[in-house]
Amino acid sequence: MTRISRLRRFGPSLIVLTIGVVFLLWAQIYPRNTGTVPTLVAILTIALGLLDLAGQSDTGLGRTIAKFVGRAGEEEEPKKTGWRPVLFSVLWPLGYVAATIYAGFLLVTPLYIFLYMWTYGGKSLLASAVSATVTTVSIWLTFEVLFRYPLYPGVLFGGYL
Amino acid sequence: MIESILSALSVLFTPTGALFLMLGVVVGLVFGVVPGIGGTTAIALLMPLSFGMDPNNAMMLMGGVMGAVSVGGSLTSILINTPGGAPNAATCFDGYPLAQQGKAGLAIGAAAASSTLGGLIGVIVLIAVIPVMKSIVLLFGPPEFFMLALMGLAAIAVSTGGQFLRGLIAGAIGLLLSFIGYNAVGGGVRFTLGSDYLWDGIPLVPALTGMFAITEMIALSVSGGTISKDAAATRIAGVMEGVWACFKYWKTLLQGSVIGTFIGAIPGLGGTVASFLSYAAAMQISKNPETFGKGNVEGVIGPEAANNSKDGGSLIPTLAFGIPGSAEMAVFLGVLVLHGLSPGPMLLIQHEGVVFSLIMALSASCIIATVITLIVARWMILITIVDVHLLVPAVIATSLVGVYALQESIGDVILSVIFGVLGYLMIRFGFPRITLVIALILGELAERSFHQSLNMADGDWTVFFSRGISLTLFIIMLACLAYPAIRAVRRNPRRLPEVAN
Repeated sequence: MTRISRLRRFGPSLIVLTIGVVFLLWAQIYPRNTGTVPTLVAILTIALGLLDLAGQSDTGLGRTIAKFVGRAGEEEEPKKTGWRPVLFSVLWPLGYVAATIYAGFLLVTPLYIFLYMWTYGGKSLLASAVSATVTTVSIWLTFEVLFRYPLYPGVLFGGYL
Repeated sequence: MIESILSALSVLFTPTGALFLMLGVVVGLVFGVVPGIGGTTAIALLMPLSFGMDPNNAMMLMGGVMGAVSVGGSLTSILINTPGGAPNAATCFDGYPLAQQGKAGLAIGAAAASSTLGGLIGVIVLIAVIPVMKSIVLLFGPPEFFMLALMGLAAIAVSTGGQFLRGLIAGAIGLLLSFIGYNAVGGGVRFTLGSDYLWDGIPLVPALTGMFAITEMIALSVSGGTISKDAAATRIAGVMEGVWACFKYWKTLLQGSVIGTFIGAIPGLGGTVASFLSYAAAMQISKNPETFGKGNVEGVIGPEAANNSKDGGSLIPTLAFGIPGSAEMAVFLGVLVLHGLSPGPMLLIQHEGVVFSLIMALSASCIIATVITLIVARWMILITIVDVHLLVPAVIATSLVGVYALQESIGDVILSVIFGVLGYLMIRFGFPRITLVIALILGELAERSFHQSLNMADGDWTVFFSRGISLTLFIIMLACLAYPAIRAVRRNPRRLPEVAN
């Protein structure tokens, strides 16, 4: 088993254990009434995390656990893809939000839609431009004109975080 | 009472009454479809417009909105995995997989029909139960609510099939996340990392939008192609099959409607809890619980019936006791007050006609919204065969603007994207999102009920097991937790010793 496949197999269980331990320690700083239930749930999380960790191993114990409570598999079986499309697909919305914080929805939305469709989606310049314009105008008409919700202008134009 | 019903019907069939009802239905459908904005906002926006109107016409307008919002929300849940409002999120679990299989028509037909029938059942129950509802609601105390929340979580974890353990883990993490923010029981804030934004806890609508809409758009962006995995097989004409499915699975429909009405009647719970508990209950009575989450039409019927029937239920405490069952009802109380109607027992005596105008409008709205939905469904289904690279940026932008509009908070937008990425990682590493979401919703109820129960019993833990309903719910929860192990033993009893060795 390579280091990467081992990390992929046991990593999620270790993250669960870390979350459980962090919440368990964190809950101790609060008074009894406030910390009791989080403490109980954190202990439960750690116990489940340990069970999951054991269930990932190829030992007899691991196979028994898997038999009774299931072993991890992908929920909706997305296509097995390399890291690049995953990274880009995650970075696009993150980048959109980061840019919106600075320049606001009305400026960033058409740029985001146009660039996504043209560079990542492989659509033509015209299709990308039309889609960007139509979506942005629809958003503006629906939210600002019809519902009278002011759209976030971005910190550069007077918005606040 | 008959006189009041006839009087309400006469208002419904006047040109003005019908016009306001239609206006309410259209506004409700639009607000339902746009992600992040729900019935509460629609009623709040229309409230000033209703000032000066005849109270009967105002009830037509508001009833129209209430009945139509949840129908509109189910469309986006099914077609693009983006719940119009939090109560529609449970519809995503099976509605969207059906759309992926090219059966969006079936899902939309089932959602629309179950919404209508659920709404009508809720209204009938509202009329029938007002005199005795108070005593039924009082049977459920904090220990019962605590057990109800735990049972809901256990039932959902079981529905994840081979991922039972990771379902429980996701549920536990969801509970931990639900503890973030101000703690009403002990006072003070917890786990906020010093952020003022998190004082009110993790806001539900941005979290749900992220977990469903953004996650799905990331997944689609990675995979490419179309939403329907077999575009050629996409059924434009499966809508009526969905309508008939509601009659075929009438037990699921009836159960969802009863749950929705009952939960709706309990102040503070609302449509989201109703639809998620109904989903869990639908799975329990289904002959194929393992197909839930993979495109089982019962998983659409149960939550949608509950989602609409809760309107009738939540009107019970609002009208009869002046206690709003949800945020939507709290705003609606404002509408009543605006028209000089004081909610409470006297409302039914002094303004029975107005109350029945509302009830008639709610019933008619459910039917009209469903007819409109069924008419436009065959064109809306086409969205599932459009190239995802056309959809992804538009849906992400619209969803995030909707999330922002809810509270005009850019923090909501950031949180939504964080939950979107978290949801995608959960898919990749085999953690079911459904249990995390349900735990996030039920966590506050569970903790509050836990403390209230112990306070009530002077710290005696047996309070959870010494009351009939609470004990029954506990036994059902244990049965849920034991189910995967029992199933494993029954499937292959001889091989177990070998496996263990």
